[in-house]
Amino acid sequence: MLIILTGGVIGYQQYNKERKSVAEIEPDFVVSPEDIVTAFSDDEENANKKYLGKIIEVSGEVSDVLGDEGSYSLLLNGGDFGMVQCAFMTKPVSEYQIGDMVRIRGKCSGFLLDVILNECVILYNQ
Amino acid sequence: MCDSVQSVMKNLLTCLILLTMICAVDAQSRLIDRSGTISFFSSTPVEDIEGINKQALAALDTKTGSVAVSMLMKGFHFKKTLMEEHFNENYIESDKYPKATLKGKIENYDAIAFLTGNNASFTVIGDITMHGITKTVEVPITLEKKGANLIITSEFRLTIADFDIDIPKIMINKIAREVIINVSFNFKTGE
Repeated sequence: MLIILTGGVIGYQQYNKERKSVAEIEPDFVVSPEDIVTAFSDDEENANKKYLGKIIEVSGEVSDVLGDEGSYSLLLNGGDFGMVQCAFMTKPVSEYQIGDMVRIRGKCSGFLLDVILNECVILYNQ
Repeated sequence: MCDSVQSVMKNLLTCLILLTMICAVDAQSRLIDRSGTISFFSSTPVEDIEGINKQALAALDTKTGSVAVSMLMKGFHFKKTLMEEHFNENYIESDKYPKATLKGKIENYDAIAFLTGNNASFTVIGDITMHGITKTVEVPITLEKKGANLIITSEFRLTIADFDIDIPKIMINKIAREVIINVSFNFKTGE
């Protein structure tokens, strides 16, 4: 009876578990925007094998700012072959503009026109 | 005498306007939106589930009416983390099939009608590829103009089983056989 109850509680907790903050997780890769964009545009299949679903940390220059509350992305300059699109679940506190340097950590979803990172967080002074 | 001069002038003006519009079409022939929203909604008496992707990519060729949409399956977010894990690992197998795409064309496309229309409806005929399966679809779209923004929205249904997506028996009552897809893209025409 106790086992069923415990199982039930764990099951309920699992089902409703909190999304772990990306900022708290050590990155799998620390890489420049140019390097990750080149990896995907050279060989998408292998880049997927290496980066898909992994936590990536990138530092680079903002080349565009998209969206607003609920749909905010910073595009980082990745050279000639594309950009790194960093999508945020909530808009960061600071305002960013084209040309700003940022350090971002996010989860790699793959490659469309650009490499896309999701659940991004800005890393400050680390 | 005066009348015919006037009508010639009128025709000339119409021609000029049309020519300018065709030139404008040429100048921004390919419109791109990198942050389109695509969501799917499953509703059952037991539970409602919604997955939302805000980094969908769409390219629209205003000369030919051809449309290409792609999105990363890992870009779909759910309220419940566990549902998101199941979606990626078991249902859509996003490590194996990271993207879903739609490649098609607006039916009976007429560039001028499309670019001057507002709250107009069109049909896109194309192929959706997802989870390794390709299906031909007819998708209704609505076009809205807001200043320099061309907003395209759509709502249609897809049958999950059509894409070889297996729902385990335990979940059968929690996931609808047909899901409602909602699409919204905003193309900046820079006028």
